[in-house]
Amino acid sequence: MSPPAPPPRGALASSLAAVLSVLAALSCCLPLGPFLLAAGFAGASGFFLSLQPYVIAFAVLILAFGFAQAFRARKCGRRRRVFNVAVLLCSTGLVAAAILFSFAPLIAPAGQSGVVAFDLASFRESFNAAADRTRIVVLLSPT
Amino acid sequence: MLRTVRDPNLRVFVVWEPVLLTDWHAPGSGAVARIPDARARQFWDPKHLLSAEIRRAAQSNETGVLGERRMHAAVVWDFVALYPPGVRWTAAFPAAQFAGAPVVRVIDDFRQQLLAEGSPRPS
Repeated sequence: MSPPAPPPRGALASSLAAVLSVLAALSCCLPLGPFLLAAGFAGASGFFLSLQPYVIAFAVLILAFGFAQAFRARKCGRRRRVFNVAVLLCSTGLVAAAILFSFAPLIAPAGQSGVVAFDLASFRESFNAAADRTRIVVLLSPT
Repeated sequence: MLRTVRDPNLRVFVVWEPVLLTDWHAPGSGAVARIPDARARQFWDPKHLLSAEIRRAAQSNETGVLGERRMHAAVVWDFVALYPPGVRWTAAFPAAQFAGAPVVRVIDDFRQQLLAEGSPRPS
């Protein structure tokens, strides 16, 4: 009698990697931030925030790999472990939530109307309309 | 820094523009929340229209428009400029009372200029 086939570790590893990627991408707003700071990783949130699109893309790729591994394991006749499947599904949910979160509607600070699409003529008009006041113009990159 | 300036008439125009590889969409709530001041208006300029206008004006008056300390990139960014009352934008983008980039390098001088501008003027 042959020994039982080893559990498909690839799917589990992929799921965990996807979860870690998403946690890194979300570290800007989850309570994970203070924990990282407490551990001496000040600035981690800002760093991961700037990498957010790439980290989420990586998470999706890793998830796809995880599903492929799980599917392959079944085709090979190996039994899937409930724990691995559960982690894979949880990871999928978390990655989906992270993607939805990154496209969440903008919340403007109090007293502001949000971000307006730039139009040169109306900007010049606004600038001149406030000509009796002190004005500051700032040009910034979002990340 | 804006919290230290009590002038309720101050107007702040914040123009976000894509510069880095990670600027793949308009600023989200996190970026916008960095400037919570109610005197600010925030814009998203994906085509660098204001940057081009500033560059054009700087061709004839580089120090006046871009400041003493400036970056030599194609896109004007990480840039701050202060305009006192009376300055109008007519043909070209106007010269500033103080301007400079990157912000982190000029912020102390900028703060001094802004506070001086906000203090009562001798009659």
